[in-house]
Amino acid sequence: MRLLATLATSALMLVAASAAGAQGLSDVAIIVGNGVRLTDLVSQVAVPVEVSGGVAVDYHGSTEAGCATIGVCDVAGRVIWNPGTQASLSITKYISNRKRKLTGFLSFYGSGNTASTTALVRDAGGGRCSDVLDGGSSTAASTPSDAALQLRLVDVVQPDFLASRCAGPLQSDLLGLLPVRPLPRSILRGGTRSVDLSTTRPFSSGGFSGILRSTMRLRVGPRSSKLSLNDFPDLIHFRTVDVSYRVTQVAGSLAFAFRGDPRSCADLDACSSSGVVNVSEDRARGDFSLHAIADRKRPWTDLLAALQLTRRGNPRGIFPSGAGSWTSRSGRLSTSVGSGQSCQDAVPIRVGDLSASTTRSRFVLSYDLFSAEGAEHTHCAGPLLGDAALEYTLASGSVPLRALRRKTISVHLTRQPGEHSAGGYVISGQGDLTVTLRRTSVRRSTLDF
Amino acid sequence: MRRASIGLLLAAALLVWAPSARASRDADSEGHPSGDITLTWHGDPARGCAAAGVCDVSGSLRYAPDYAFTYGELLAGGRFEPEELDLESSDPSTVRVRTGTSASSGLCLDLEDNSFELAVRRGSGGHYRVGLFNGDGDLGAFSSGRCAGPLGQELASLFPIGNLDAAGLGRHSAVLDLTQERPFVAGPFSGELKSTVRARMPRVEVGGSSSDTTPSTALPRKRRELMLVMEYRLKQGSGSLVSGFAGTSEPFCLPFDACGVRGSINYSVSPTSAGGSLTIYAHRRVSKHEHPNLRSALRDLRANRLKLEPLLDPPEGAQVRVSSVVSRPDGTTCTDPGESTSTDIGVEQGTGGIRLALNPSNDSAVDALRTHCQGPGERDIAGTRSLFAATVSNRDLLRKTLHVRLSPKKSFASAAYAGTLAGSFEIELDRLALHSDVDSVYPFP
Repeated sequence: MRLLATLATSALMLVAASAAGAQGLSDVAIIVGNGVRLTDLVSQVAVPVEVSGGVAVDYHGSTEAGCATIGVCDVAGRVIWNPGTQASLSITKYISNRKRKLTGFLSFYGSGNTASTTALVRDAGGGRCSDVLDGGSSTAASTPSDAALQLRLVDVVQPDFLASRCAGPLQSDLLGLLPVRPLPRSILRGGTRSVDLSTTRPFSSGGFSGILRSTMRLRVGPRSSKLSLNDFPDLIHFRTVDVSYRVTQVAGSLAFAFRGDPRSCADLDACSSSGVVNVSEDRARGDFSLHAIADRKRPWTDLLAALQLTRRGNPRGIFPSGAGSWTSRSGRLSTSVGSGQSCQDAVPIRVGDLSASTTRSRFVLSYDLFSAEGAEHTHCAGPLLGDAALEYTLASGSVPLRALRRKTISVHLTRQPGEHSAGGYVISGQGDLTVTLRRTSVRRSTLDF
Repeated sequence: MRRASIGLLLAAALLVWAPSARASRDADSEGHPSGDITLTWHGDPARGCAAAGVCDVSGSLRYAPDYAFTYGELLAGGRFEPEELDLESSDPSTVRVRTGTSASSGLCLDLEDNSFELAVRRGSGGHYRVGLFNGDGDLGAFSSGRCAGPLGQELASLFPIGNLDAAGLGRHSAVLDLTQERPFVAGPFSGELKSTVRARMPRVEVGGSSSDTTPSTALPRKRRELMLVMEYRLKQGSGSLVSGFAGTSEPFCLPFDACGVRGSINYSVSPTSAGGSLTIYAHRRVSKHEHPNLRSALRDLRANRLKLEPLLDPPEGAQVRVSSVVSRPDGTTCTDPGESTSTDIGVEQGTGGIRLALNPSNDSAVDALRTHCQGPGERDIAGTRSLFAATVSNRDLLRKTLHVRLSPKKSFASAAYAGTLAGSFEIELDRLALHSDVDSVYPFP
């Protein structure tokens, strides 16, 4: 779950043309960096990173931090992030406004590495919650201007690397406490560098006070591979039509009722726990893009027909897909837990992700959980938002494909009725989120590799 | 006559162009399972837990697959014949092991990545049995991670045996039913497997033919290559590794219940039997006017001008025995005399020579450094590297007899455990042949 989420929020855009979707192509995948157009790419470098140490947060409910408001005054615990011993740094060089830029990601995934996040929490009543989750994460390794490289452990756009189903602080509470260190460009030329990301900092926020301790040290380099665009075999040529939409509205709410799953609630001390996780959106805005891809031998009208932008052309075998996101200042993730422990909390959801696919007759839009921006959970114990998702999707809806002919489309995203079991809880969802898309531009391009 | 000829030509053309009536087509189906597989275990006096010191150990592993994929052939009559069924989870399996009495028990939490390639066996009436049948199936094996409990090799065949109406998948959806309860034993532990995994597999989809869309690629032009061949006989290989380890400092040792834990691991490699061979193909491109001989080829080798392609052909993997002794801060001791697994010697081109390496295990599902006691595993001790490694320089390759000493790194440190490594693995090689040739070949990819 986190791997997918993080890859997506690493802003890697995967343009995949399946054999069914694009005649003449068999499973072509092109990965493009954050906001970087394929044609602007210069090179990519992969740099191995040896990792030692970890991050531990000791915490307790604190009156000064507002524990009474949330209901976590009797909670004390510890959450430990073990990043494993291997990471990789991926750096992409690209050109923007005739200037060479750098974008990169430090990824604690792969190579047999299993990062983990472990929470060990107790309350005054003697309850003990223990949870262990995949702690894989990927953080941006570039500066805001994409002019230089720097390393950090926490990234505002990444899923919460300290998230667990036990009550505890959020990544967003601790964001400013972890160090950020510069990385010289010599790494790109095969150099090595030791980076000290250790620190010990007190905190008091979000209902909890405590100490954050990092013992993390990274040894970066030397680079293992450099891939230039010229390295791609000259085999693949295809046409793509990108239709850009503005997300003009995301409004409504989704509610996920939960209760402890008798089969697996004991470890979470959640057997008498029940409550509701609520996701609400109001004035969200964003961008969405729908793509049609086909072999370059297909006429443009075929691609436009698949996107319902012309009645001429033969759309057979072309199945457009899309992706987008919205940002919001009013989005909220709230949790209300009762029965045994009482806890109420709400945190902002700043970003939501959309994905789209098409069938022969329908345009299917989904609210996916790729980036949660620190809103996988609240300070209360309870299921993670990912536990409420079904196959990464919180809600989905569809409209007839011909609706794409209109400049503005509204899709109601709902949740299928029924319960499912995940993460020690039995969860059911309901609600309606309305997403409105307004078409802004249509762009044709040819890509050759 | 002319009309008959045209008719024949048309018939021939139709034969050429008519789509062939294919007896079967590749097809697949992917589903999303619900439920989970839970393994629970405890130290069992009847299986010698007292001698091992694990009678107060109880643990569980939970695996919740969320993706099932089967592929095979869709026959002309609409019957689907599956070849395999893959089961995957996007989240790792969770291991929880308690040691000690309930009043002062330690809790070890770990994660294990599990995915399974399950074998399918035809039953009656279109139904297929799905599971790991005595190792028929691959990749997956549950284990207790760094915590005390069963080993991957002991659980290699432990998986629910389920049913799938696969034949009907050509016409309609079908339920993959892996629900099952069964006991198991592993070393000094007894346990139970409980599975509630079920998935509705949708009707299969026929895969597209790729043969008509694959771009035609012309063969590259041949070129002249100098090839120096060195062949060695593997005379003997043996060695051992001893690791002393301790739990890391608080709080990072806490998730693994490793605080104050100390122990040692002994990894002993039995002598490999003679008869294996190492062949090194060293080559470079030569120009039309160049006429190299053995002497000039050896000069090229010494000057590092040849690309090496080493190939090791051991008659069988070396046998390895791993044992450990682990002491906990409460004074209890876990002892495991270990079990035998097999390992392979690997060889590849290194910098200025060849690199020989001994990996902990030749089975990806087995952590060859784990025993029934808690402690570090391959990913802690070796990481992504080999356990022992050595580089033989191009100059040394010219000797008639090679004695290669493979050494481990000196220490390791992970979030749970840190320790030192000592020992070596030694290999003796006798050269059998040395010759060179110039051939016209297609370039190496």
